[in-house]
Amino acid sequence: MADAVVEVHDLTDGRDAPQADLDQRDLAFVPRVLAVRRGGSVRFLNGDRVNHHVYSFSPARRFDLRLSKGSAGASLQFDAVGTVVVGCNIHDWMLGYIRVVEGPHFAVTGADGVASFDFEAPLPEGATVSAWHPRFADSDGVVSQPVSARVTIASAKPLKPDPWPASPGYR
Amino acid sequence: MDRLAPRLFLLVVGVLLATLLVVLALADRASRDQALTEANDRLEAAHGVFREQLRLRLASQAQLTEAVGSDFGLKEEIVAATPGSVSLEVTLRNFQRRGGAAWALATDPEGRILASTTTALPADTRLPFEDVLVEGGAGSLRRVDALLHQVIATPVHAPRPLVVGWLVFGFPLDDANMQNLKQQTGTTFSLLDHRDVRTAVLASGLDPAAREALPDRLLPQEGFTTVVLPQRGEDVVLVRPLDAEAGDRIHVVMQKSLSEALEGFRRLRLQLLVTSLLALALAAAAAWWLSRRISRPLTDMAILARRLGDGQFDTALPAEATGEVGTLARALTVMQHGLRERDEALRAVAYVSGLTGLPNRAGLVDALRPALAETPHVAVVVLDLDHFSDINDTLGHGVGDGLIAEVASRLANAAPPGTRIAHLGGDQFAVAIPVEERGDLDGRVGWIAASLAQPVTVEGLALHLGATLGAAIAPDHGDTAEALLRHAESAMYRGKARRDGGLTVYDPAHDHHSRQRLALMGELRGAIERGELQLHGQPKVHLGRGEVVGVECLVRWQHPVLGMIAPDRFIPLAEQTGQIRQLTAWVIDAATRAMRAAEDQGLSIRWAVNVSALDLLSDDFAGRVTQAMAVAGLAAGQLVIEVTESAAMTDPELAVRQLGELRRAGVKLSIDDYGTGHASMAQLKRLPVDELKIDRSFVKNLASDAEDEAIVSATIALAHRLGLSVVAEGVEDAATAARLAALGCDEIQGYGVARPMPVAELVDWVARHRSAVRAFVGGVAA
Repeated sequence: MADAVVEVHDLTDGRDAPQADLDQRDLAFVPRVLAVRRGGSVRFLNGDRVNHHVYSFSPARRFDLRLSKGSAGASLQFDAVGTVVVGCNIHDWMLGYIRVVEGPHFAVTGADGVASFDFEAPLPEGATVSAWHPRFADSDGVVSQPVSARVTIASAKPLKPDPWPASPGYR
Repeated sequence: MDRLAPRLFLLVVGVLLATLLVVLALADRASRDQALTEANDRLEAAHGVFREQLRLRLASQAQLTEAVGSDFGLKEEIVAATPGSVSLEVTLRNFQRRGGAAWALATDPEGRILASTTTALPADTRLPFEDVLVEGGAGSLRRVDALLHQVIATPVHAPRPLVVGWLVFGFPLDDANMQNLKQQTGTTFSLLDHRDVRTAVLASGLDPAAREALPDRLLPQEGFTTVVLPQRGEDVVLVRPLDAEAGDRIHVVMQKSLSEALEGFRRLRLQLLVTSLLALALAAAAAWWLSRRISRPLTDMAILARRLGDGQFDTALPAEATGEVGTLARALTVMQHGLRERDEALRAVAYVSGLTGLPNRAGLVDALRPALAETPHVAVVVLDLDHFSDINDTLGHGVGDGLIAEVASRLANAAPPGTRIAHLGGDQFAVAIPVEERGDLDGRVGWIAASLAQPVTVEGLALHLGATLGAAIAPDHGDTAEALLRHAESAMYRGKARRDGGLTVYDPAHDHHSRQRLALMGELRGAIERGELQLHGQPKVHLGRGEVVGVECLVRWQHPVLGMIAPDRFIPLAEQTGQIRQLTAWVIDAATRAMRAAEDQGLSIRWAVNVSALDLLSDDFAGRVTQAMAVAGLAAGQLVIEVTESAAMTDPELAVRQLGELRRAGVKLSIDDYGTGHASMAQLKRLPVDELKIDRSFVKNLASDAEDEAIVSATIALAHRLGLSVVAEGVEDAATAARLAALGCDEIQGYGVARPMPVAELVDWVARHRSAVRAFVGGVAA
């Protein structure tokens, strides 16, 4: 599945997370699912042709930003682990997720639904890998499994509906 | 009632009325059905409008609610809110006002109310209708606070699909809405909730009185019906469920006034009514007219029929009737004519004498009846041809009939105008003559005798006619034709009896007399049996010897009512009825007994008994007499049989024989009432008599009347020369007795000697009056 945030847990070596940017293009959030390490910050951009009023009421991070078009926007720090559901007040259909993870080993699956990890050291015994997806009905939307070289994570429960209805787009 | 006119009238009017009523009823029904159909159509249309309105409202309300639900401020408030948050409530109130909702509330994602603008749905309670909390729900109807609301719930996304809560608006369906609907559709709407025991009217466009009454009068079932509400009259009603989700409980009731709908038809009905009444009046008049045209001729015909029954055959029917009635009228007229002819024919037979063509007794009576009513003075004369039976017997009935016919024709020709003639039958005719006065009658009957004066020639024979007439005059002698005829006949018979050839006028006294006589006749037979007869005797005295030598027996009738009836009153009756035989037999019997008794007492005389012609006519008379004498042990010579001249002459041959037989037996025979009868000398000579009795009429005035004396003298001489003894009857005094003695009479009898007395007294009388008798006839040389 695309847009799944995969994390390998219990690895302590730190690594800097890349810069997380949340942009709006064509009246949609880009990326749709953004993963950020706890304590990290997310830069909010507006690459769209219109203004956006980005917000979230998620307990993990509440914020609302008015981003005029083309603005570089602000940066917000995310200090709590959890899911931050992001919407645009002007454009009701816009939906994005910022998944704040413990880190440092995490990635978002691509269109092919694959996230790859390179590890220098072998993984300790008991390490798990988890995947979060907005469609997972599991608690918190997270499914965990013991790690192995190649892991396929699937939710045992039926998936929730696709939260991204087709965007009406420009008319 | 039975009369034709009213019946026909009522029938036509009744039928027409019934028809009109049916038509009116049908028209009423049809117009009502029509009004109902139209009303139903309109109601359905109104319902459609209503539903469409609801739908549109819901749509706009939903849009509104959604728009409000996506308000960022609201999202913030909701996310931050705790149940009972005032800030949220204020915000909601603001949005509620903006949206035109009745109330607004916000819930958490689970349906717990965070804040509410209505106390009916307070904060911190669960929303009672959680089922509306459905994403994309179109809203539903819920009852909140006694009003029905369109409840729209929209999820508050932050963002979609994350639901942070629900915004719920309530838009009321209240009276104002109903009024709006009413204005738009012309239909009155009401919303009824049947959830509770008593149906509640949630909203209505009705006036208070009707609104109050509606739940009671309307049944909670779907479809069309009608209802009558106060101050509204009758409405057509359509009931539909309001919301499928609300179940059967909430109905929208749409109603339109039926009365208004029927208004248009009312005019039609009025026109129909007026036309009907007019038609009715016309039909009634026509029916009346027609029935009169029928009933009047029928009444006339009924009158004709009634008059036919009364014997009147002259009723004229008006000729106007046509058709069957006319046919009947003509038939009746023909019948009347036929009946008249038959009646006349019958009359002719019943009332006319076939032989003479004159009216008969019945015809005369019938004709006289009206005449008597008009003219009180009418004389009825009955005439009877004399000796007609002789003519009939001798010359035959053909001659007799011809005679009658001739008499009839003569009378008819001779009768003066105004006189009615009738042939009563046989040889009797009757003539009815109007008279002014009684004395007038004699002058008016002369023509009758005149017409009969000329001899009638029948079959070459000239017959002389005589008639006896009897007359009775109204009103003295009766006031009915029958009575007059009867009395005239009675008078005629009296005339016949007296051999009076003229006119005898009825005498009521005589009639009474003869009635009495008839009564007596009937009683006479019984008189003999009842012993009412008494034998009396009148002594006969011998002039020479101056002593009683005989007795004439006389019968007296002691009638219980009339008293003593003398023989001349009832003897003729007895002769007429033939009872004389029994009478004579009784006399013989009584006389022989008296003779026996007298004989036993030493009185030895001759007893005389009167005998009638009828007695002589019976063959055994002589035998019976002699036998009676023998039985009594009496010598035949002691009995004298007295017969009158006329009696002896009735059948001379037979008389001679009987008397001869008696004579040979030794009985003495005497001719009574000599000189007054019709016997001729020659006949007398042949009778074997011993004695002659001179009638009292000659004796009475003997002393003074020279002619009487001459007759008596000659009779005595004649009798003596023939060898007969003479008795003079009716001697009343000594002078007469002396005279008779001088003339040589043998015996006398009369009141001067003695009145008749009961035979029982005779012996005694004779004994006591010996010297008186001798003195009476004394001084007379034997």
